[in-house]
Amino acid sequence: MEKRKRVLLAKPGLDAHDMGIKLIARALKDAGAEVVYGGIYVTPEEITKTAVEEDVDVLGLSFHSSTHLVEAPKIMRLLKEKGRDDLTVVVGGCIPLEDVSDLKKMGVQEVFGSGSSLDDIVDFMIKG
Amino acid sequence: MFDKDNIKSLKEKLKEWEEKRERKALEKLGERQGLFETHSQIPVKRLYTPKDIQDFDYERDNGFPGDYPFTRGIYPVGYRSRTWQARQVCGFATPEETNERLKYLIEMGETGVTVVFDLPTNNHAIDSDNPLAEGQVGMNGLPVDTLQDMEDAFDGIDIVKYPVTLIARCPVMLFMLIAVAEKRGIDLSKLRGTSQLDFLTSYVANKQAIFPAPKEAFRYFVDIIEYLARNMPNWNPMAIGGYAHRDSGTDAVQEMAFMLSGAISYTQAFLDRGLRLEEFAPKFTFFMGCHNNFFEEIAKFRATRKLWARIMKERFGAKDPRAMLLRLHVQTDGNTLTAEQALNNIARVAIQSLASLLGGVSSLHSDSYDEAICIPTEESARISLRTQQILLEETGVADTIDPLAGSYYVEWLTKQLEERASKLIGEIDAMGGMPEAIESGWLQRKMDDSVNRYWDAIRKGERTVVGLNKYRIKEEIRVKAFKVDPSYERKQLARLKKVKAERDNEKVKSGLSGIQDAVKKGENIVPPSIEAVKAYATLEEIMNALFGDKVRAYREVIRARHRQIAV
Repeated sequence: MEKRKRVLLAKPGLDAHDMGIKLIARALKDAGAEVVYGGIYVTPEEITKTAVEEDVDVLGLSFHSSTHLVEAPKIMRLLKEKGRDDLTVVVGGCIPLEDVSDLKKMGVQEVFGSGSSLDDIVDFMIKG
Repeated sequence: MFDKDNIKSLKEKLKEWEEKRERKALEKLGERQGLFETHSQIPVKRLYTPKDIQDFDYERDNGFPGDYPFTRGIYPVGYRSRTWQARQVCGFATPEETNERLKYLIEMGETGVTVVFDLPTNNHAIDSDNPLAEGQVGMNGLPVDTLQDMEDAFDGIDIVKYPVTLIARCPVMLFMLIAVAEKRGIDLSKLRGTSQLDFLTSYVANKQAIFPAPKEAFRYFVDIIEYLARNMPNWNPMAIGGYAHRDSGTDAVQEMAFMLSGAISYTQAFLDRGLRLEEFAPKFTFFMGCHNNFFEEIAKFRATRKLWARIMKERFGAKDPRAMLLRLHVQTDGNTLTAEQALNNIARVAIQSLASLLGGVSSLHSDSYDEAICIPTEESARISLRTQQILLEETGVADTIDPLAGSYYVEWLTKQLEERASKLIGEIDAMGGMPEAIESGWLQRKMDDSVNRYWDAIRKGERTVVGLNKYRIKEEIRVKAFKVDPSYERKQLARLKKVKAERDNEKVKSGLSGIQDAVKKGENIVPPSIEAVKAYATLEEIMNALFGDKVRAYREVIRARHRQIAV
């Protein structure tokens, strides 16, 4: 049997719009993934530390206050320093389309902005 | 209201109709879904008749507009004389840019100014130079670090003529506005603005994490209300919210109960301090959302007015009717908007605005259709204003007061909501009030359960959201970038650096220790806080002097609680 995917979900930045990421957490659990939920107001240091300690396969980040281009590069750099840039990083939330290519250039694998379906997000995280 | 004999004969005829007519039609046609219920899970019957409100007593349950129990509204003439002034909120970039915009809005005819603050200031009470604030300074509101920022934001604006509304639970911005007034030699009793200060909604609904645990934080807010009641009698000190709970996922009954339980806890604490009801209660304002379930929302506004009046009169012994009024501002609920087929939101907002008007609310903000994907554009903001104008001036719905009174369904539902909210308030009372409900984690669990129930129903298709889980189309959703020029953050950091370099640090130190002394000795914290503000102590320094390490400790409690996922 295939190993269950371990997913870390977290919401960096100073806003607290966590309804979406919590719904994803529940849907992932329902779909059989192991979910580590990092919560709100998490710093890049906290996120990457948890990602290493929990030995996760996927990292999902949610942004709603326009800080994705400030926080995501820090997280990607720290992952690299910790030797975990093999992680599948997925970004979601309120993301303008023109920022998607910048995020992908940094190594973010997929971006799920407004209007994404929950099933697509869960499928991507579990199947990669 | 109904004759007993009439009800008896009605019951017989109804039974006959159900057996002969209704049953046959149902056998033939069936119903389009198995379960009909409101958002608050109140089962909705197929038909309402006088039988459902046979105990209804017009004078007891409704009364006249402007009279106890205010079910039909708090104004004797409803919307026929005064409607409301539409006001735009403002705050962005730096105090200088905000000042320019505020002056522009006044030139355009606004009768007051409403200021919002950026995330570091409002949600975290940290200074712009705190590393956590990077990239977020001036992004969604006005950044405030020191008195200088408030002086510059309100420079050249007559704050007596144009009442200021501060959308902030953190009290330091209010202290700064008071300092601005004092430095200008303004008699404080002339200030007529509004502060939010509803700190009980900061923990669960807004997750602000800027205060100690509720029971510890209470004393500070009692100090503030006492100060305002005694020195600024024309100021509206508290806007008590249900909206934040509703928009985080609770249902209508919970929204009513959590808001009113908060108001009860405040009222009790202010009375315990020795304040008189008449000194603060007439100045309370309330703030709720308007969701999709049309009749439930109308009934909610009617029932909430009635319930609050009853609580003030029966529980707190209010004599002055002004202390029983629910002055209610409503905003259509943001979480009902979809990013998918966003123009559909115009229809949603129009229906919610209609429900608000039929519910007799005191003022209304209609959302813009694009709010699920960006900050409203000028066009979308205009459409939401036009929606209100169409309702008021074209449709005639606001031409008579409380037009749905007497509807079997609406009166039945009003009673249901009143009873169910009352019961939930009773549960919170039994716990010891809102602070306990928050500290024990009960409120968080209730909210999580509601959110999960709501979204599970959407996922399973039991609840329809048009465009989201039904009638989808292929479309590209363009989230518009809201980019504040990053040079504003640098500008604000430079402003803060300059103030820190030029201020008298001895004065700052003595100002801050003045706060700490008052905290220790149990004296009112407001006067020393205003002194520290005048010495140009920063927001973060003042918050630290007020609360010390307690905030950081409770921030972790809140974060840990929000990490739990109810499955």
